[in-house]
Amino acid sequence: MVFSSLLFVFAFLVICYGLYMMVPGIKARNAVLLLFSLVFYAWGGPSFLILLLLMTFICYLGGRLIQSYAKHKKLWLAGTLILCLGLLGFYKYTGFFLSNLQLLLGFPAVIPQITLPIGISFYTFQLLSYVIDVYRGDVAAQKKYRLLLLYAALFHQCIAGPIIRYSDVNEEILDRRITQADVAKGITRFASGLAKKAVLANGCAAIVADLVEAPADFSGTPVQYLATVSGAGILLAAVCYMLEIYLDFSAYSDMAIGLGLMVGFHYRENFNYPYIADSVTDFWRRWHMSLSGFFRDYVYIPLGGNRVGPWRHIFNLLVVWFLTGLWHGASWNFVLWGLYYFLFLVIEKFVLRLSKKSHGILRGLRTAGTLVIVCFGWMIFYYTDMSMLGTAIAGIFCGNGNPFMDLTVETKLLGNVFFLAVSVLACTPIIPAIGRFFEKRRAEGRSKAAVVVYDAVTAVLPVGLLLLSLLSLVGDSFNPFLYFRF
Amino acid sequence: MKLQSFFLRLRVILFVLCLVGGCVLGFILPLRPTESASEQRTLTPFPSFTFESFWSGEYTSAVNLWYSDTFPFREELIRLNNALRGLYGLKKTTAGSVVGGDTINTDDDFVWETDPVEPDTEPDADTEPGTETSEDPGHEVIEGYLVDGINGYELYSFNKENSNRYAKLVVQTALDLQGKAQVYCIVVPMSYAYGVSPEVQTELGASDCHEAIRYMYSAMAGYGESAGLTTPVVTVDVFDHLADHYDEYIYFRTDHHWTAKGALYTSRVFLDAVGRPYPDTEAYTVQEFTGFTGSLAGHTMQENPSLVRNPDTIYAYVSPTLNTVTITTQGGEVKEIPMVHPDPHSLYSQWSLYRCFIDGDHPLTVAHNEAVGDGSAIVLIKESYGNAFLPALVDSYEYVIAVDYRYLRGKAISDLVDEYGADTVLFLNNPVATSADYNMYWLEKLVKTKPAPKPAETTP
Repeated sequence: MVFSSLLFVFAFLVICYGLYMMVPGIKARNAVLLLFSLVFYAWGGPSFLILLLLMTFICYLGGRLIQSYAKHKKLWLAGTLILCLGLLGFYKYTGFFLSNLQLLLGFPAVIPQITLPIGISFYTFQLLSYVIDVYRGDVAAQKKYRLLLLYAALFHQCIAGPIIRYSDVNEEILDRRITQADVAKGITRFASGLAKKAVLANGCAAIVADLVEAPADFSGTPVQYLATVSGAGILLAAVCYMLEIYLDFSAYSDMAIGLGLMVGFHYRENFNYPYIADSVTDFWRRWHMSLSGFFRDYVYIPLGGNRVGPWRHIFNLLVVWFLTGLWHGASWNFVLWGLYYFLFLVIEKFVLRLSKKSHGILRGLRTAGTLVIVCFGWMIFYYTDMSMLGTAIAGIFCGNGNPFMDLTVETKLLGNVFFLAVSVLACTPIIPAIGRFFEKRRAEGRSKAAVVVYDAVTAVLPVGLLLLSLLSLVGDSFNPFLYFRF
Repeated sequence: MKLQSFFLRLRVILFVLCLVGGCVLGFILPLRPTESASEQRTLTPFPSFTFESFWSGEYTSAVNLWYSDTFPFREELIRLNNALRGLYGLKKTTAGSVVGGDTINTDDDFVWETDPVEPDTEPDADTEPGTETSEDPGHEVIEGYLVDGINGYELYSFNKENSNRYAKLVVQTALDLQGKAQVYCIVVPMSYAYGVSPEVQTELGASDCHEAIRYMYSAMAGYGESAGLTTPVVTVDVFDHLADHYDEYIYFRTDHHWTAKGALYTSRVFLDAVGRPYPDTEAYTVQEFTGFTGSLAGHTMQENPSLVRNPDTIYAYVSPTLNTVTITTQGGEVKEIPMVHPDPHSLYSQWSLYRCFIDGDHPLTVAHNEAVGDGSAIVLIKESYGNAFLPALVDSYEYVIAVDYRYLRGKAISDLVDEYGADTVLFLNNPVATSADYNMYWLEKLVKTKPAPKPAETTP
């Protein structure tokens, strides 16, 4: 099941939260959340639920052993990590590993097709962060398996993040308050996320598909089709994909945060308008912050971080970015994507030695430059086949014998100019800035009429966004999140 | 503070009401539609439960699909969504290009093969034109298209292999019917050939339609000569004739078909070529059916609602002497129906009004006009363009036997020629079909269907 489906919005959510509000006490409410979370996860195939339950049990046991038998805590930690990462590696990387082995050595003859359980990368990392935090003494081990399972399996974030730290929610698991302000905020957040996904992200995805994906009856290969696409078409597709991936992924985080607020959970932000970053370093402080935070706290810092000599520092960065790329997918293009950012981070830190803040025109130039780098990075991400990537890059410069501009691109651009403008706006902090402006006015007791209008608009906005999303979702049979392969 | 609290509460109440309302609506099962008129398909049924499908997640996935695919008031919501999409941009021109056709060279050598290759395995029906059953009202896959203002055009890319195949099949028919019937061929030009500039056609990858038609005609001449055909296929080039009348609404704007007027003009060229009489246009009764939004409108409406907002009007020419035909459906049912339905809105949706002509695509449609009374007969091998063409022939032939080669099974062309004593066989096809694997597969099947064995003659 996905958040951006009619079944989730108009059936699952209503029944789950309706029941949640009716039952008394935190124990019953947690039971409702856990039951519905397991149903939510099992909706994609009950067989994978067993893996989630198993991995949670492994980490539950690991946490209890670390705390109870601290003398051997390294052993318990190692065992837990090996088992969890082993399971992740088996499901996610076996095919990749074996296909490369086959390429190099000619065996095995047959590569088994292993289905990737949905969300495995997210909940594995979430559980590992729990075990490591117990090992470090940052949190106490959870004595009740069902509560740890709630943490891991909670449908808000189980299958597509954010990667929630146990310390952020362990108190709220046992005691949380639902306030009117939180529920209202949560509703707005959820509705915004839903519209971002259903209207904007899906719309951008359709433009990308129309521009660069071969039609069903094309008799040649996808590469041959891509070679016919105009340079402007490839560029427009790259920009739309850049918009799509942010809108898609951040929308899911918005919805997760909104759903949490509605029932008293307060999750951390996962995105901070990454497309206004003025450097690659800044970009990664704003993009998928829960993942970069995980790698920072559990890989980079234990390796020594930046408190080592320059070559060791570079090595640490290389490890982190290699793993970041690999986490995103079992394919060399994702590794290349990770290493691409490694390269730019090294250049920024060691060659350009960029200062943290920039202002004015310099900031504008740096932001533009960062966007170009990021956009190209997304091309590496999108074209999972290296020959497709090469063709796309050549195509931008008309190196495939293709024209730069054609009627298809012209009509696509002009026919979606307002839509794209709204999509770009949704990637900027302009709307929250408007909200902060009116809140400041309210706090100062100024522009009372304008504040009332603002309150009235924000009162009806979620319903408006929900109805817009409904229009987009009707008839859509399936609109998976991009990060579902992770 | 009070006002702020009020608006906060209002936000929550409105949202909850909306969610609960949607939930209740979603569970009112009788409100869930089962067919989509705009998409011309049956909507996803509720899946059957099996343990295997449940365990693999297929069952729940199918439930998800059913829920969204059959949400109440789906058609109205889609219409609203399309209206919203109309606000996405500036210009109302939308294009989907076809991917490069083969080079057209009318000077190719056309050598007849004595043992033509047997048809290969049936191509995937879902990706080919003409995949619908007789219940489907001519829904054909549109790939390349252009919407320019309120005019829609289907585009076509020339496929040399299938075009040669088509030419060979027409020649094969002529060989099989030598001495029995004369074979004619009309490949109908598409509207983009007239309405879209050559530069834009090239940009969108569309082939030169007239050149492609000339190629196929050259191929028929070449193969016929190579095969020793004594009565060559007579090809009728209507391109220039239709060009002269292009401004007279001879093609639909929202649909890939031509109008009855386009069919009528073409029929006159053909009937002049065969030397058959036909009535003046004034003799016909013109019926008008408004609000037709055809295949191009359906295909492009999500991207550009211009065609949906500007529907076509069907002007149908009803013969003064006959307005009934006998159809044989795919299920084998034989029944008499109106040739031009007097009230198609009562039977068909706005998307399917082209079915007013002979109720769409059936394997066999026979018009018998006793008023002609001279025993003349013509066998018409067609796809859906032939539906609007048949009524234009009924005053010139006593029998018009229309065969939709995509659906007729178990009957050879020569069987029909013998049964009705036809001396004329006309292939009336559109270029997209002549370049399509699926269509050529079924045409080949028909052409190679062996005639029924003749009963042994007994001596008196």
